[in-house]
Amino acid sequence: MKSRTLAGLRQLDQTLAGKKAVNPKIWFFLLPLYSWFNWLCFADYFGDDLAQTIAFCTLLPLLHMACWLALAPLISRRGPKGSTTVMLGLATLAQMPSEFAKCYWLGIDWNPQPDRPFALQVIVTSVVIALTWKFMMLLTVEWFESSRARLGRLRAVRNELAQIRTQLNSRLSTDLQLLRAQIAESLTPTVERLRARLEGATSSQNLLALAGDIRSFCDREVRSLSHQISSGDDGARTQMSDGRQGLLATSAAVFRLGNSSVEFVAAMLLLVAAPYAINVAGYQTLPLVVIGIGLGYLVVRFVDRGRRRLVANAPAVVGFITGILMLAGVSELGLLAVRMLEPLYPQLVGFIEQLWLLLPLMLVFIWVVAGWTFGARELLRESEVELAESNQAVELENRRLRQQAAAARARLYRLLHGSVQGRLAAVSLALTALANEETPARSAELLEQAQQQLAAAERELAGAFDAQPGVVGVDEQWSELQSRWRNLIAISLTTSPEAWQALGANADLAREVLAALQEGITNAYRHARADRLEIELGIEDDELRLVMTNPVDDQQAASTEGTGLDGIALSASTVKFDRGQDFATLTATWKF
Amino acid sequence: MLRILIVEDESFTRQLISNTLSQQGFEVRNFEDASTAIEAIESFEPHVVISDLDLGAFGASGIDLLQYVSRKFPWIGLVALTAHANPKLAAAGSLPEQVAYLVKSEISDLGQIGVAIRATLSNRTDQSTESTESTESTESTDEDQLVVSGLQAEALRMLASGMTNQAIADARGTSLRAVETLISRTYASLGLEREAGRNYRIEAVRLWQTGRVRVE
Repeated sequence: MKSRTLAGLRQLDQTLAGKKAVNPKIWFFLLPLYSWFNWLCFADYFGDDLAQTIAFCTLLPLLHMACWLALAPLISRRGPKGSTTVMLGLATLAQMPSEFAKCYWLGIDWNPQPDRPFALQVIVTSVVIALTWKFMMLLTVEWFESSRARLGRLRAVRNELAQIRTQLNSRLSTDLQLLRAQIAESLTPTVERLRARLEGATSSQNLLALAGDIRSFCDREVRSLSHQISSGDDGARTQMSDGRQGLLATSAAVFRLGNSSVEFVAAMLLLVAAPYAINVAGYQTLPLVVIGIGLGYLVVRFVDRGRRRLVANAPAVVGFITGILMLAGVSELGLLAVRMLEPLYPQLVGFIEQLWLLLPLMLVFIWVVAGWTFGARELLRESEVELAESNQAVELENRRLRQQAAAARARLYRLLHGSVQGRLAAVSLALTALANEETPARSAELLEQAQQQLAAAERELAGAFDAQPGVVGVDEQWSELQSRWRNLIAISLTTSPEAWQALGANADLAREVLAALQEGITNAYRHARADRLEIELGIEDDELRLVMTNPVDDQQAASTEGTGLDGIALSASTVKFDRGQDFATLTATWKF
Repeated sequence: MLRILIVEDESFTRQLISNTLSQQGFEVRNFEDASTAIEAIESFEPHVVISDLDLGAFGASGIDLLQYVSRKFPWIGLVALTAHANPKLAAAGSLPEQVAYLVKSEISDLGQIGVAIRATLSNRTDQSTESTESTESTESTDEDQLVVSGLQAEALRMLASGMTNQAIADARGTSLRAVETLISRTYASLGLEREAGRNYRIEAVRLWQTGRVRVE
């Protein structure tokens, strides 16, 4: 319990670090509050002299504020550690001039008096009240401001998400349009021309020249375009603003959550009411204040339980208003009871009369301030969680779009670099062979095959941007992958039925996981020189989890050498590589 | 006759290279993917494996196949076919130094493939993409060039990789005596006559590694 309290105090101390411990904004609240308290406690000293009363109630808080602002640099220079303690000490010091002025102005005696307030008593009680409010207000302002900033950031993140989506979609579409134009306006017509020239070529010299042109076309245009595709950057960055949520919107959000604890309200009331009572009617009031607040707390606690149950599903404003009504009602009923017992303490009748309006007002005021403080802190917590979730959503969206772009580029690169360029190179080779071929039948066959290759290249270029055919079944793809690695590395797969079904139901996920499997196997074989690989595929915590483990010879290079991990990281939610002494494990997860 | 194993996923190119090499007097077998090719290596015992580096999106690539062959059968010559302008960069340093590279779109003469095969067998991969004419002219003017058969070249590659006679016999599945005979004949072809105090093994390997040996 003690350590929890200490931890809580340390947390508060960190909350009010440096400049936060002297936030001047608190004076918007403190000036009227201190003026009000001065009025309540000391207006009687001036009788009917309203001008002097007003001067007294405004000038002293202003002096207090001026002294505080003068000492503020000393506090803010303290840095994050111990700021609160220093603040409380210096705040006491800053209050002293106004307190001395108060005693002098009111002519309060420095010698202890049994029946009226004396100077030391006034100063101590005033310091307690002032420090309580100052500390409370600093917390409120700090949490409220932090909430505003967090909410603003949250809004910026949400805007960024929308911007990323728009920018990436637009860039993807522009890139693909440019590539489409280059393929349609440059590559396809050239291939058509080459085919026409092939049909007209008769001599060996023509065929060899054509072969040379095809080679040159491959080297320059096709290679340049495939390089352009492979080196493209799909990244989109947006400028994120760190704006703040509007004051009214933040206040509304704070009150939505503000439901201050009854214990906190009782403690605050005790801290403020006890010094006030001592100031007004001397120490004799203290037992009455403590007993009254204690009994009131027990009643409110009982009533509040029922109230919370009743308004649990009601709008926040209902909860807030019922809270105020409850406090006002209980305090009035309590005062009624106290009044019935007035004969027991006739000397306090005047003081009790004051409380009819003052007590409910003070309670409501504390309730509102506490509501702000607690609400702002809750809002801060809530917005931090939301911010983290939104950031994660931005990352996911960004990754998904990048992955789509990378997949489109990889497909086009493979088409141009692998298929079309391969066909053209084969045609060039065929024409070279054709030029030296003496058998008519073989020549005709080679010519026909070369023409077929060019026609196929044309068709592939024309269909480069067509919709892709659906994914072949996962079972078939996995069998093919395994078969194509047989004799090089022994692969064993353990999978849960749910995971396999998930792949079957989601074509995109299946494509990503199979690509990751291909990369993982290549990594294990090529870089770790593994001769066997164990793969586990399962579902854990709403994630598809792929674990690939292979033995590692310590003499061999680490299996992170390849670029495959980057490819997996682009599509997977998380990628982790662990290397033990004898084995290496690659773990990738995908969120559903 | 030199035995060549071709691995290329594009059927037209595969057939074209296969026919060309057959016409040039090589014994050729061709395959579409790495796994099937590996199954044939032990029975076919090729002198050289020619493989496209890119064998499709799924499965082992040509890099993996050539790496496998260089590890398990270090005496087999390796030729990499690729569409990349910088083939060594495409292999990303994963392949041994003795691999000869042929850039598909830069082959202006089918004779270049035969030259690359002979170059890899002679450990002269740096000359692999030169034209037939220039290589032939180099060969005709190089009177110091020593000529060995494909089988002898295989023995020389095994010696160069540090294998003992017993290891060569085990690898080839023959007797130790047969290997000793083969090596003696190889020394003779290289003009290394037995003299006391000379280490022919080292001299033969040095000749092989300095490119003084041509395979016929």
